[in-house]
Amino acid sequence: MRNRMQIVAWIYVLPAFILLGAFLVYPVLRTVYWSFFGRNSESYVGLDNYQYLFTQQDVLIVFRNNLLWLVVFTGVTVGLGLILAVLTNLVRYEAVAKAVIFVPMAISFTAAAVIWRFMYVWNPASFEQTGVMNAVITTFGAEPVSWITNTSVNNYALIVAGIWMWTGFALVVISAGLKGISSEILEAARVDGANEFHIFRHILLPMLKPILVVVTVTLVINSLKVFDLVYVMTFGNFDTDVIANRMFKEMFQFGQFGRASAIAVILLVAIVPFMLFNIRRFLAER
Amino acid sequence: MARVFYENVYKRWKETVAVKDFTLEIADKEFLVLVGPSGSGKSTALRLLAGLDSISDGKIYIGDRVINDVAPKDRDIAMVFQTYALYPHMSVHDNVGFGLRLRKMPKDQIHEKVVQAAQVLGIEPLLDRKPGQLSGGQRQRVALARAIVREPKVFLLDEPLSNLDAKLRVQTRAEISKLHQRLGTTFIYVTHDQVEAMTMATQIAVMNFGVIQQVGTPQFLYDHPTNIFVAGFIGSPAMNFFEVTVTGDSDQVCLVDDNGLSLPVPAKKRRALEKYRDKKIVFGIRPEDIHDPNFVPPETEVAPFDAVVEVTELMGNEVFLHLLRGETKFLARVDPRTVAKQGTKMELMVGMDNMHAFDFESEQTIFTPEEEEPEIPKDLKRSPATGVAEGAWVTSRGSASTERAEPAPEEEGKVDLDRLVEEEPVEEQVARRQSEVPQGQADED
Repeated sequence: MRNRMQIVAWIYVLPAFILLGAFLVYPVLRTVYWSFFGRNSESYVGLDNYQYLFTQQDVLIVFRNNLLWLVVFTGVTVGLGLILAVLTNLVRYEAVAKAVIFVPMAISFTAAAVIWRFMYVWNPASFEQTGVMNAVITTFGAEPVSWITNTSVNNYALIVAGIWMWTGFALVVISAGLKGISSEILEAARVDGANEFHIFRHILLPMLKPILVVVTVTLVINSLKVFDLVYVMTFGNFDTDVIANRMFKEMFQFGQFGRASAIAVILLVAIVPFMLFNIRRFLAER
Repeated sequence: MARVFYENVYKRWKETVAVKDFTLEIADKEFLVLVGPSGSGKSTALRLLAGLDSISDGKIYIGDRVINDVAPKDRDIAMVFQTYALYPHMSVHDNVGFGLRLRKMPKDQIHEKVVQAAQVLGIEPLLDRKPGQLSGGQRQRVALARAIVREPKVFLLDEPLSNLDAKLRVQTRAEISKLHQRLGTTFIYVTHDQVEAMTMATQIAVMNFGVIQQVGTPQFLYDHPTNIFVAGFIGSPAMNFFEVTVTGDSDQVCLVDDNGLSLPVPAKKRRALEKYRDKKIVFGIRPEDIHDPNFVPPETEVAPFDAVVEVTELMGNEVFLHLLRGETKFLARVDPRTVAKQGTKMELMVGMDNMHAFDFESEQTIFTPEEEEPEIPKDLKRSPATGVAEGAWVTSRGSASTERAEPAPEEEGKVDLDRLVEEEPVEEQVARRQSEVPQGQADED
């Protein structure tokens, strides 16, 4: 009886397993396999691809950039989302305010990248500035900055575009969490002697923690996978390349299938811990 | 000293007025219950005192300080919410100690106070748990502990028992009363349940439509309701009302209706009814003042009448008779030995000593306490003219208590809202309250 039940269970699960296997597990294993082969996947090269990637100066810059995205992009987006969620919760035109901040989420990433390229346009100081950023800073007497090519600012310029796109997401999710906190709890805290900062620090923040973790993990994964913004705005030039774009280049520009596969594996390995963390949290919550 | 004084307080939300011309003085150590149906403004009145809603007009004093513009945290109050509003991410210990922590009290001192408060409420074994792991009754105690640990001047309780089951509610009711006596602090308690009001309060303020209808001790409100609303609201089962006409002369005043009812009015009640001769009034009688003729309590002035028995409900210690006279349905609460057959006509006796009468138009009471009970010594009474609220009693102002019914000009002066209450020390009130809760109030739940 017990055996029959198990057989039935397996039969039901089988289609899902087949689909997963064909479209997820097999490609992953195949990619890992290819990462040990040369540019045309014919000759076995062992760990050469990995050795190349971890020693090549420009690839190391790629990893550095992703780390920058991970820390700055995630940190600022979550922080901004939290602050805006708390603030919009207090204003009268809450829905309008949130909608305005959320709109970039609805724009395609490519379109957003194009918009930000226009924002960052640089003209020599003697000309009229057509880029918004330079127009603004030159009004205050500063020299126009070449945001896209200046290697000391261009990574941050790209990250700002990413933040602009994703803050709406963080805001909406954190707001939902905020709405779930009963107003009586806040009132109880006020009567207990809390000022608004105390309430934020001792009540809202701890109660929002599970939501903040979910948002952070989502954004971390997105920062590791970032591609379209970089592809459109700089194509990874001027030291702004990121893992996903480099993988694309190795694959389709340089025809280096082995190296591209190795990068994919590295990206996968980098993301796995965050995924596991997310799954563990999810299980713990149930 | 923590006297609380509401002075002509208003709360308006755009078009609606939630609290209207609210004047109430709550003496130090008082247990005041604000009672009224939902939407009567009682919770709003409490929230104005807590500082959770802003005051539109008027002033509120705690002690001698006007607290209109004082932040809730600086008002020296503690509040217990209907949903308890515990901080879910903190242990019971931290929940109770949160207020002290914000006041930068040293840790060991906080711990000492938290443990003390926990002992008072019997929640010491729960200190390490989170609110999510507690039952409703335990959460309620934690909320109370969180309030008492700060030793505030005034306790505010907003329907603290409504989320508990019936048995626990009765038990907690008694514990809150005990807590009040033990702490000797001013309590202000909001509820829609008149049983809670009757059993716990030293003073009750009945509210409806954002207006105070009447203020007084539980017994006073029960015996001398100022209008039909209070009469129907205080007491359970509720008072019965009949539309009757006053007939007769100065020797014999009768209340009659179209269905052959004719009830002679006792001598001491006649004078007040004189000017209502040949006019319609509302006659009110509590269910326990309708008796089976065989079991009339001694020394009761009764008048006979009959009614059809619709339903009988045997409660063991008493019988509820659902009765019908013409179109009017009413309820009697009679001796358990009463034999009543459903569907038959039954002879009954009305205890006219305890009759109530209300003006048909204004719905205000026709009897004023001093007219009924001339035995109250003059020096203990207060003239309504000087009626500034003081000490343990309060006057409620306004010509009419309900929005719709203004008294006819000719009745002004007679229909007196400024009720006179004998001053009485709080302890005596508490003691009396325990023994004098009107029949059936305590066991109603």
